Amino acid sequence: MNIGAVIATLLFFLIITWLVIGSEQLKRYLLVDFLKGLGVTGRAFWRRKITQHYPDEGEELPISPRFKGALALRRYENGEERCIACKLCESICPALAITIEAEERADGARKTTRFDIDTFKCINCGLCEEACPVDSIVCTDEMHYSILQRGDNILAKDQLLMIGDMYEDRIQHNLREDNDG
Amino acid sequence: MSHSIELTINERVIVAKPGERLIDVAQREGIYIPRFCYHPKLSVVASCRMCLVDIEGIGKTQPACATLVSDNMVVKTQSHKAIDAQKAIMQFLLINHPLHCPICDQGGECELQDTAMGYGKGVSEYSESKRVVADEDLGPLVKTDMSLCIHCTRCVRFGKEVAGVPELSFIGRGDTAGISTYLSRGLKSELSGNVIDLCPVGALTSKPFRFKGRSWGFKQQRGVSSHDCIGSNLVYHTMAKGYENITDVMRVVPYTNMALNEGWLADRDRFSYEGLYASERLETPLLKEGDHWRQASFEEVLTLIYNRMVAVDPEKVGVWLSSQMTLEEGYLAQHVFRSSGVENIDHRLWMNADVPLYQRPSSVALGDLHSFDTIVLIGSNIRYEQPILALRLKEASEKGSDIISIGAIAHEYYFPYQCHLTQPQELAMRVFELLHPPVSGQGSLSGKVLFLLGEEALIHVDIAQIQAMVHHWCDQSESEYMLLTPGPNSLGLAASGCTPDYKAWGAAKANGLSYYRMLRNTMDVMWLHQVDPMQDVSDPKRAYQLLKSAFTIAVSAYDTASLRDCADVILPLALAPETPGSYLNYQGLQQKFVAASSPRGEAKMGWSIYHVLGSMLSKVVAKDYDTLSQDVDRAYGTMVWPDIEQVPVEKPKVISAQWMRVGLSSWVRGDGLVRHAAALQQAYPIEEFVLLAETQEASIEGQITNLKYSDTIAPGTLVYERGQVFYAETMGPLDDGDVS
Ligand code: SF4
Ligand code: SF4
Ligand code: SF4
Ligand code: FES
Repeated sequence: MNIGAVIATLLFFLIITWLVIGSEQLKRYLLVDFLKGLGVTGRAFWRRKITQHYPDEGEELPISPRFKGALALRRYENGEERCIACKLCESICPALAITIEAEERADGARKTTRFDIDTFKCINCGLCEEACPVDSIVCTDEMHYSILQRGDNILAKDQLLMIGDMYEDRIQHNLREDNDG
Repeated sequence: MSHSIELTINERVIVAKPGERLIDVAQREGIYIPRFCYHPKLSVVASCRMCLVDIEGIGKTQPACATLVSDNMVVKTQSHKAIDAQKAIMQFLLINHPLHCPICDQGGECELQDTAMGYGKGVSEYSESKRVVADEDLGPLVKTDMSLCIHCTRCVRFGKEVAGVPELSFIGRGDTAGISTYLSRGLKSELSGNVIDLCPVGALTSKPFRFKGRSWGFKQQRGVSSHDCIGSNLVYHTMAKGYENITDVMRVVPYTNMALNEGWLADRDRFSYEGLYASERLETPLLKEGDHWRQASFEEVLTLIYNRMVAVDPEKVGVWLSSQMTLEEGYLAQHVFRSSGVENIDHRLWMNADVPLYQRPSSVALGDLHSFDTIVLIGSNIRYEQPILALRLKEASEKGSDIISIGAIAHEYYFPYQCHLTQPQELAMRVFELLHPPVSGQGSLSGKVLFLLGEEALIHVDIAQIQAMVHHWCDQSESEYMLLTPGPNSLGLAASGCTPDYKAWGAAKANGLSYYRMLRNTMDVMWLHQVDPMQDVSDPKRAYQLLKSAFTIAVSAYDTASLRDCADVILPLALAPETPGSYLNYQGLQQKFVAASSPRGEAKMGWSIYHVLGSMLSKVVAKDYDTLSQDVDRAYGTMVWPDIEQVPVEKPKVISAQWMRVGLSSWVRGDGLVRHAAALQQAYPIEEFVLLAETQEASIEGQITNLKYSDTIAPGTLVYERGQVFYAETMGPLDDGDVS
């Protein structure tokens, strides 16, 4: 039997099957879609890789200046905390993550005596940042933070101010970026 | 004049009465006209011009607050002309107004903020410098931010027209115009806190509350004043603190009850909440061991109390209750004690006589005072004892009632009155003479008379006679009298059986020892409920002796030195806004309230202490608070007050005692709560052993809260504040030196 006869026979069967069960069914039997999909995998297999294996790699991720990461409280250049206990952030927070108690400080300034953010509740929406009249509460671009212990989830005022101090340069940088860009 | 007229506002035809103000008519119809200077309780000055409206036929816009409605008037509040005027005025007001909203205590409840949002322009065209006004210190209660003042003069008019003390005024012109007390002396009026509510902006705010919270962050709970028998309605603003489910009262504001306080509140009611958070609050039970006090558990002290109570002869047990107790607490307490055989129960710790006092609900409504031709104050310092009632007296006086006062001190009132200065020894006699003038027809009272018996009369040795005379007199005419008892619920305690005379709800006579008799007896066990033996009783000297010799169990919200001196066990108590309950005011009106804040530490509500005690002593007690409160409501609802026993009226004699008390304590020291309210105490400080009045006429040294420089004292009377107590000494003959 020569090769031509084999092909002719195969073709004959294909045509008969096509006539009997239709093209859709035939495609299914011939695994056409499956092979197409495999083709995509095959192409991606040979392409340059762009997935980053966070947290094993990815330290140098490009981050938007508007990224809403860990919250912080800022100070003025003279070291005075910005927050004036207006409670606007507390009232706008959709997750009720902020708790503020306030009092008159000895020098007559309006200051908080308690400023807590519950990181378990916070959804990093950034509405507090929008509400704040003195740019005190901000979302830093810091995403590398995690809470491992129940009870550690409440960030108190001194912690938030500390984060603010640590990230002040980046906060200012991001603000500039955002305004210029 | 009762015909009605028709006018059109914003194309709606509206019916009104002639003489009504356009702003009120519009408000009634749901059309809001912005305003600052207008206040329904104050006179109209039309100075802010915020309420300008467009009236057809009049070229210029007109202030709606100063315009009376007239027939066929066509008013537009939203025409171009009106809106332009509103925007212009708003812009004008904001020229000098700082952008302080985030740090301003008024933020969120500010009429200027709201009006600027609703009627302002949104942008400012003003870039010049703004005016800054130096703040004046108005004392420990009211904080000023004078740069915020918009010169509406509501505070000025309040002082002049309502409180009767023109303390604030508008001085200066143009740029330098401002609100001031002339002499920087601070606010001293007993109603000064009301300017906080009246000020539409944050220029006058509460000092104790300063920066503590935001109007939108509070839960509101209705409450009742716990300091006088009027029962002013108020609202507690509470806030959760921390994460332990603790709710604290952050401030108190008035609730407008037109029948009672009309939206005003005395400083005592407004600022006393601070006492809840005083450092002297007792948080755990205390037990005396030898000379030392130690903290103990409730189990331990209750077991101890139980063992005492079952072992002691009930006739040797005395119970002193504070008239700050709620009706429910009072009922349950006397029920538990009476069913254990204890009959010596009294709450009238101010009495100086062993006589029954017939406390009855009065049928006189506060709004009807002007229907009396004459109002007679017998031994009352009404302005401080019942500040809200004094306001109504002023109103009555303006409407034509005559006011007469009999007593040892001619207090400085803000209404005209005729004063009969009397040595305290002669009070009863003078009352008799007033009712039955020696020369008949001369100076006799005529028409409808209202007698108000105040503190000096209630603590008087002759109170029974005074009441009998007045009662007899009123019986024969259409006159009325009221006992203005100290504390918010004295009438309630009389109703619920906390007296030696009657059992609960007047059901039967009782014959226990009164407070006066207990003082002169020896007792084995004494039970005090929120009573401070130094401050809350009329005779601290005897009280000390008695309590020290007895085993004294004190239920108290405060840990005070005098309690530690006298008591053997102290149980921590939750006070009024921390416990539900009800008070009866002078009319017998039962006003209920719920628990608004959390008790401090382990402090327990009064009813639950008596509930546990009752269960331990195997008495039948209601199973929970709701049942108790229903029982009390039912019983009070069907209560019939027993008849007053008529005693023959005869001409009283002059008392020979050298010492007579003419007052209980000053108005901000009447109960534990106010005594521990820091700002109030600062505003009205104690000056011990200050000689207040010399024998001759009116020279008063030292500045004291209840007495003013211009107060006149009966000749021959010395009044001074000893500790925190008023005494009057007269130059009468010496007797046994009894301080009675
Ligand atoms: S909004 Fe800003 S200033 Fe106001 S309370 Fe929050 S952080 Fe403080
Ligand atoms: S008074 Fe009103 S408008 Fe003025 S700063 Fe305070 S909240 Fe803002
Ligand atoms: S202090 Fe307040 S109430 Fe008084 S005039 Fe100024 S804005 Fe009006
Ligand atoms: S409210 Fe009418 S002028 Fe001020």
